[in-house]
Amino acid sequence: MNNMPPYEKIAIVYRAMAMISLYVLWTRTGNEMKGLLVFLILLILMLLRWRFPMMKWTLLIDQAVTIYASALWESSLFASALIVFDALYLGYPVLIIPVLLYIAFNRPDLMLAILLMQSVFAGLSLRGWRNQQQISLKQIDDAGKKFYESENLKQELLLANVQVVRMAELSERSRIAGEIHDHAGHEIIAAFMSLQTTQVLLENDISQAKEMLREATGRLQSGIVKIRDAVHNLTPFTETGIDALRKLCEEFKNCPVELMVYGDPHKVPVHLWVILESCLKEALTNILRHTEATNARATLDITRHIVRLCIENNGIKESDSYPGLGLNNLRLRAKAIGGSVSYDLSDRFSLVCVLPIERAFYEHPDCRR
Amino acid sequence: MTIFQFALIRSLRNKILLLLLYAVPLAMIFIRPLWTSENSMGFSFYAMIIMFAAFSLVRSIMSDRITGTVVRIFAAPVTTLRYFFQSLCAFWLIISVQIFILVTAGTVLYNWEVGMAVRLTFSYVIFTVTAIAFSLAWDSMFRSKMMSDSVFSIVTSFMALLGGIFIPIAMLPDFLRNIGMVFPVYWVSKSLLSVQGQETSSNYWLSIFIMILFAAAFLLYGSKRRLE
Repeated sequence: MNNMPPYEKIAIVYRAMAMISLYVLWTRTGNEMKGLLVFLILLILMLLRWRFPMMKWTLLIDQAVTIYASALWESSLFASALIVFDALYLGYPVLIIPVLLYIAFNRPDLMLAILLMQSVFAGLSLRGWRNQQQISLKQIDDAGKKFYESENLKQELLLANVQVVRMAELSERSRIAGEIHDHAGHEIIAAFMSLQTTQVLLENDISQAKEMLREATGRLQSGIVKIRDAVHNLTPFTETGIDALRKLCEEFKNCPVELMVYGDPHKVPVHLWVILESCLKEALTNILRHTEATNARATLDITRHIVRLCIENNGIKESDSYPGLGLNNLRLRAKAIGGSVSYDLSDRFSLVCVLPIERAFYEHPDCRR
Repeated sequence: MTIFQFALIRSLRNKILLLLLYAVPLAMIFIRPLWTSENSMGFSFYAMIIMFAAFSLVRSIMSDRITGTVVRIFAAPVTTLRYFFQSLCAFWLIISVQIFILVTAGTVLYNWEVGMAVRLTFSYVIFTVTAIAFSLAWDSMFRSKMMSDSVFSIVTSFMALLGGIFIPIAMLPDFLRNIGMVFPVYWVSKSLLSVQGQETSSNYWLSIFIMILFAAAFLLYGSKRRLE
């Protein structure tokens, strides 16, 4: 009963009151056994509809019983008020046509007509209320479904991002290996073969040996040039990794930002630098907006398994604003790769980002897909 | 029929219940004035014993619901119909055996006619079904055993008063008789009056039919699956 919607409770109360009224009417108007049988049959049919909601067609049986009993007990027609209410509340107004026609042509009665009108009003009102509730529930369900779908999509996108980074790393490695093999590799191998030939010719033909040596030197020089070119071409023009973080700290004009790095930055995979960079940007933006800091410090700790970025400042937080969308998005991105972003808004703004690296990352079950 | 067997064993394991089920009626049958005088009340008193016995037996279903056992039962491939049908059949069987023993003893002791014994048995068996259905519907309305018990005892006393148990139906005023008609106890009293020859045969069958209707109504209400 506690979980029942309010319109359902009112419908039950209405039906109970109708049955009690019918019983009282029976006790006052003849109390023949037939009246009691009609009462019991109507009660059983009503309970049947309550128990098995599909059995709305039993309203026809109700009407048949009521019409038949009216020949023996005239007041049984008052039970049609309950039938009319049930039919309208359940949404099957067509089913009440037989009893209405019978009453209209055979037993017109003002009191009965008033009672029927009241039942029509009650049935339609409760039905309208029920429909309204169901529409609202459906809207809430649809909104919830869209929300969960978008959250799932976000998670999938974050995971796909990690996988794309990994694929990019692998394809880049393959490209670098191909470039070195195709250009510098041939020259160095040719130079090596020339030097091997020179070693043999030194005992027999010195002039030819000198020629071979000159050729080998030329090939090595060519190989060095090609390697130098390849390194030059592979070097990115924009700052990445630790250089990007240093540049951000240098360019922050609001207050001096000291960047302390502990550990080997080369151990940190490329895709983690993107998140670390975003964390630092977000932290510096929040320091600018919400504190009056004169000094800030960013600490980057790189260990074998994790990289930890901590940004702190000496300002006092001036507002009680809650973390915005930026910080929440960072949290999601970090969580997608098994990391975490936490922040302290109690006194001064500080942010800590911990991300797993190397084996710890690649063993994450979601990233192995 | 696992649930049937388990309900049977669980019910018979309770010694106090066994006492109520078998010792009390058997003791009652030996009290001659209750069964042999003109307005013998033994027949209707026994109907109340059936009512209390049914209530005590059906309480195990309420216990299952309150303790959460029913959630585990319905996690298994057991339909609501099967659970209730087998449990209620077990309870009905226990009380039917009691009825059979009592009627047999009464026939032997007081030379009841076979026809009377058969009609008496049939009346009590149908009333057992009604009493079990009533108890099921009653228990489904409560979440606390104590509240269920205390309200039941009050309602049963009213039922007994208006149903012709303590006072013969003929002595009740019309107004109270009409109120009593909504209780199944009234109809078992009427059927017992017919068995004793104080009412017509048609009233006997009408009472049986109305008790069946009551049973159907209570079963429909009480058999809805309620998981808490």
